[in-house]
Amino acid sequence: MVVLKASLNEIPLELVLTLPRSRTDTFDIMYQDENYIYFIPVRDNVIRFVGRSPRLGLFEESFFNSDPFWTIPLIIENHMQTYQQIIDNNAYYKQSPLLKKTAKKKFYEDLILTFFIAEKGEVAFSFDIYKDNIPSETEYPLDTIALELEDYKLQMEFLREAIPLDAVPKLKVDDLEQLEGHLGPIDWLIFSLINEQRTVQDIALESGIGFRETLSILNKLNEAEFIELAR
Amino acid sequence: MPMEGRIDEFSILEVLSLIKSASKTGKVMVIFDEGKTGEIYVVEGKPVHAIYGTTQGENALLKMIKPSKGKFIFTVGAVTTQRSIESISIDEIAAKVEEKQQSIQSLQEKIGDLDKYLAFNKLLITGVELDKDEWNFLPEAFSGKKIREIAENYEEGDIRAYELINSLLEKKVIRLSTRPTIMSLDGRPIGNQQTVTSSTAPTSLKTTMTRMTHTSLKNEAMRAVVEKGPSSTPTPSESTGTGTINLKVKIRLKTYMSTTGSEVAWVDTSILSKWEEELGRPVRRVVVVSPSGKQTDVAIKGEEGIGNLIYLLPITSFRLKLTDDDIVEVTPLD
Repeated sequence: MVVLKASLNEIPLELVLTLPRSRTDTFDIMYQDENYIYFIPVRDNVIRFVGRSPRLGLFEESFFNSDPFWTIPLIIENHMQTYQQIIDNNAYYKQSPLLKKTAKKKFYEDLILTFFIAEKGEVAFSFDIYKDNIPSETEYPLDTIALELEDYKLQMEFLREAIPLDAVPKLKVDDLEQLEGHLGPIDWLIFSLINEQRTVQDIALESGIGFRETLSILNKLNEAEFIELAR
Repeated sequence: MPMEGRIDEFSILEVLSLIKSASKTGKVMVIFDEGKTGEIYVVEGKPVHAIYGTTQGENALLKMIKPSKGKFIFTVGAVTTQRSIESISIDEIAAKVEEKQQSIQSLQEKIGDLDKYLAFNKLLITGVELDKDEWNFLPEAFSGKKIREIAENYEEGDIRAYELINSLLEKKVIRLSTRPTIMSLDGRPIGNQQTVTSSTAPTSLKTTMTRMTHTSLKNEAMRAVVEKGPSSTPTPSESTGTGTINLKVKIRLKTYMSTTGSEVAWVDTSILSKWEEELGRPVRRVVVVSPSGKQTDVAIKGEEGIGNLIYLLPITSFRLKLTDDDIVEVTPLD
């Protein structure tokens, strides 16, 4: 049962969150922005999973029209399948389990922080928590989020301006030797996704490391003039 | 889009506190599961107007801040020109709520079981003084509701209801009862004939008056009795002679006959006791005389809590050409 719904356009999430947190440390959150619907289970004040699924076909209407929590199993399924595809489609992840682990950590960190800086969309809370198996993919105590949020927000503001999501990165180097010694494993992973057709947003969605990390790497590559951004 | 939530999970006070933190202007609509609704308007986080039922202002606000089931809907931007709440901070409201809760708790402890009903205290014989508020509260007390319900629905707030109940209990005008007070046939609450005085009446008129608690004190005529004393209005139950009393007719719409097959009427048990005391014997039959002089004798029975009424069967009232509220003389037969 929904105990609280709010539009983040009108009441900031940090304020809305004070109500459920004043009652319990275990609850479910659903969040809907323009494109996605999110499921964020909070257990003992810790977030171990965030599921994200495109709204299309799942939940077209506003949260205010009905109870959105019925979509949880669908979101989890869709999310897990989508992420698995990202991993399966990238040779780097097949070669390096460690890289896969690092990517997953960054991916969920980004997903969680993306939700907590949201200034638009609708959020709903339920104390009648989802009890079926929820994947345990990360471990993020709620209290530490506040500490990172401001930095994340500032960093994302800067990165989104420097690396517009609709820009198409293009290679500026002719020879791989020019890059040697400059790129780490995750940088190579991003580099491998640049095909002069994918936009920044496409790369971020396919990288499996989340937007912040993808944009940071693209920014580094751009500043080093290994790539250029075309719009 | 509004913000909405369950008030069984988050109190209105918490919601107001959140709105204050966000410094928002808008309307909080409170919809209780029992069906009542209320509205609180806030301007830049501060409550400026509240309405709950017929109550407005701070009282309405405090009434809505109570543990209850239901939901709230906060609509950003909704405004009103009405102002019923002086500048008050959320902290002040919280302090008032706390204070109110303590007062209520203390009064509730004094009163006792809130799931009981209130009944007229039949042991009350000597005069007591009731102030106007206490008089006005009597119809609520005998509305057939449990104490808790009376308090929750009282226009001037639950705390005031508990204060009045406590005061009436202390004066021994009322007592707790496991059953609701008997209702009259037209649905009005009725009570026992008692001797009370109105302290609001001018001293010259502040005579002991025999009054009936069944009277709807919201009725202007009865207000006049309370405020001006009995001399300005008919005195339905004044004694007119030894054993003879005036009572108000209420036609009993049920086909009840005495075991002897004769017509029967009912008067308050306290009247039967009084007759027995005065005449030195139980009274079993009475003569009923109508205003037009028609009369008949009927078997008489006692009924608790009907005050100055005499219940007559339709056949008796038809024969005497009586209708509800006619005043008849009732005299015990030897």
